Amino acid sequence: MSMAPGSPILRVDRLQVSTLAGRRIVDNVSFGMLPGEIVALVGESGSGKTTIGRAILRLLPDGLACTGGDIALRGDSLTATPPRELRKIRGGSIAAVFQDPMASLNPSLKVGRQMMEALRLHEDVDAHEARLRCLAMLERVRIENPQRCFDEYPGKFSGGMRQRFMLASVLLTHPAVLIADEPTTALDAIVRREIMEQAVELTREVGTAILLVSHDLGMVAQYAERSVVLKGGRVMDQGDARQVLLQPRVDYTRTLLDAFPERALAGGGSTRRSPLVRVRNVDVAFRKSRKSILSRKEYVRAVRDVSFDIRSGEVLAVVGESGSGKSTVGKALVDLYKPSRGEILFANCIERSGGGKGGARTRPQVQMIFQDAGGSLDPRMTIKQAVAEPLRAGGIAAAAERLRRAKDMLAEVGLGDDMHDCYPHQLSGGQRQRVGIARAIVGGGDLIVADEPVSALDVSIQRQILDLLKQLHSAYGLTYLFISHDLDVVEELADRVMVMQRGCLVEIGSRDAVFDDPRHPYTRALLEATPRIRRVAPSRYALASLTNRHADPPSGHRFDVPAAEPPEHAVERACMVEVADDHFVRCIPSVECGGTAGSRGEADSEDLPWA
Amino acid sequence: MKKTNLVVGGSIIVIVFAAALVGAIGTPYDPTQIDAADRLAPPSWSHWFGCDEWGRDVFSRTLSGAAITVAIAGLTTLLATAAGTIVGVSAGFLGGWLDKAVVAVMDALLAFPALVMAIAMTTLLSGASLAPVIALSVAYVPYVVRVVRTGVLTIRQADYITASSIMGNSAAYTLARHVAPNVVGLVTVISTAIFGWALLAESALSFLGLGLPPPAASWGGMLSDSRNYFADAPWLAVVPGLAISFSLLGVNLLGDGCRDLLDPRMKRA
Repeated sequence: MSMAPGSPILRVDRLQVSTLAGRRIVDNVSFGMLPGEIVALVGESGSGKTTIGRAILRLLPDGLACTGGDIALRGDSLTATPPRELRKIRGGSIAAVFQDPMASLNPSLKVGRQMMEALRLHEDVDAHEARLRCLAMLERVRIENPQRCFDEYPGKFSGGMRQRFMLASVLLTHPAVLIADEPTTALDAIVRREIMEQAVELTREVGTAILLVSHDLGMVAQYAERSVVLKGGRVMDQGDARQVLLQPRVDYTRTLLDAFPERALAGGGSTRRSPLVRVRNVDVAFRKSRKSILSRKEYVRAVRDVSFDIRSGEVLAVVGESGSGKSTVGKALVDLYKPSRGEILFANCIERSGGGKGGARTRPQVQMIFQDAGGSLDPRMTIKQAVAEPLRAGGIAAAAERLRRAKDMLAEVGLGDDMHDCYPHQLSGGQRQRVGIARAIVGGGDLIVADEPVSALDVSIQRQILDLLKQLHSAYGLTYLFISHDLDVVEELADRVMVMQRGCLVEIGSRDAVFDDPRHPYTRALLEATPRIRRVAPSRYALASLTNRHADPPSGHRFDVPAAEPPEHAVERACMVEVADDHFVRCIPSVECGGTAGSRGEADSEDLPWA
Repeated sequence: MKKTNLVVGGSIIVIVFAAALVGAIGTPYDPTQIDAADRLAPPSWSHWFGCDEWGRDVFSRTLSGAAITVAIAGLTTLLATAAGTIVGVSAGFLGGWLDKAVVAVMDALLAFPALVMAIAMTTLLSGASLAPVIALSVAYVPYVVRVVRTGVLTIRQADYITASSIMGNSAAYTLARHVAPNVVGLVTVISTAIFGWALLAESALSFLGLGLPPPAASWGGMLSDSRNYFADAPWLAVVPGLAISFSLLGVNLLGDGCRDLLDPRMKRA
């Protein structure tokens, strides 16, 4: 390991953290951080990366203790510092941002007051000056109208805004080291990018070194200068972030990189297959909770006038940020939500048209795979029983036959005989997801709606589940509607991709078309904002500001960016325009040419060109 | 270590139930037989727990009291738990106006202290031998409903309920197969708690003279009668007092033990 010239601001030397029982969580970990440097701790869950961050803050959870080694800030050992001194260091010289900003913000105190409190605890400034500095900092993290935000409570703001407040308040004291533990994991791609760039920019100015704790290899490769790869509490490799991650020297990093999703050559999505499901002009609206029994009923349109086909045997991915309505589309397909308008047609039999009952029950089976597999399994059923259950509703009367099929299915997803009588809580996350998949497929379902099925899993487990999904896809001829915010996974799995924004479908096309030639500004922003490990430029780190290189809209049109809160009965003139073969983008005819706009009426909904 | 509660509590409850059984079948002496010669006799080999002011054998009366107390507390628990679970599960699962109505009625009932309500109802129903059972059941149903309904509301949000509906299961099946088994733990814990409360409340009612009419033996009644003789015959107060405390301890330990045992998530894989 080579130390760069200059003395490190923070030095972790042969650190050991153990449980009371003596098990080592962190074993002999050493690394240093130069002033202003961004160092990443990467590893899967259980690698001890969070524990190291906690140990530096001297905030280890109960039951864990530092049993060896040393942590030094500017050469002074932190392990020997008395608690009183530590409180000055914490938040002063060493600051921290965590994944959930709401857990760090007090919901009953105004944002401004909390920021000022942090500042005045560490520096002797009067209220007026503190206020000015806080406002200046809020402006630096690009919060519009800081004056007004100052006097609001944290609950009013989105996750991204809250993380900005956290960033602003910890950087107020110009800390030497910022420990950022999965700071953007809970945020959407575009917001994540903005926050990371702001953090990097700000710390560059102030000279703060960042210890970035993350499981996201793409983000680490994008932003970190050096990285430390951890596994089971041990350092596997460390050095220049891009070299360590992109040209791995050790087996473990290579396994991680190989496990990372990658686009297979020649996506098979180009062949047009017959539609299995047709979604036509579907709206899903939810009633807002009323303030009083007298006030008017108000609705939120979670999905707005969405039309598409799911073709038999394809993997259609739905991407978009949280609140884009992608999960709602999936839930409408499994009949959890009724469309308030439009219709969902299964292989030519009308069902679930907006309003009224009477849809025929003969429809292809639609099953669902959940993000939280553990939560989707009844804690009081053995996994064998859980997998047998859909067969009962599927009309197989004999319990013995159901159990036999369930066992076969479990074997197929890689769960051996010895596990069939386990309860869900006895399994690991990956095994639970296998059970969830087995349950979705066992009944011979045609369409599987998979809602973020691998988002909660570590990279190596994610790899196994993705492989299983692919294998079952071809073995059973399944059709997937794959809902995900993870573009890497989508790029590997999908035949076609549809992009949603604020409840609207903004772009749909084959995977290669959408990824290589995105047209809609939102798709472009989304793709640019996501750090992609396989696309990280080999050059040195540079701040790439969000370039809005808009593609030209199709002639006679302009791109439509759906409004956040459209007026209730606004005339939506947007339509889908084919920009390339089988590749459609949401546009508004820029000139008044009623002909084009009118073509998206209900009359010819059977044969939408983009579907 | 977690099993300790279950074993100790269970053993105590077995002893109490055995005592109740003996009390119901046959005691060493007739619990109501008066004998002037043994008036306030201290504990001895022939009368283990001594005799009361009428010369009745306290040991026999304690056993007989156990039978009455356990019967009343047990019946109350069964009735309150059964009614409360049915109401709570339906309200929580079906929601809507039914839920609103149930919550309103239960809140109204909860506004009365259980014992005060039991006293009022026992007075109203005076004469009926099941009066305390009915009165206490009505008083405790809201507690069961509240616990069960809250549990069902949480379960209803769980993904496995969603999954069941996607599978095409009927609401009744989902209720029976997924919701009910997951409230069993809650119901067990609340029912042991109610058994304890009912036991105490029955003693309190008899102490106040609202239990079974004399000369029937009951722990509360014995405690009440002992007040005038406490200086001369402390065993008259100590024996039923200990009986009540001992039973309550058993019930509470058993309740904790049951909760640990029935929650599969607490088991080690």
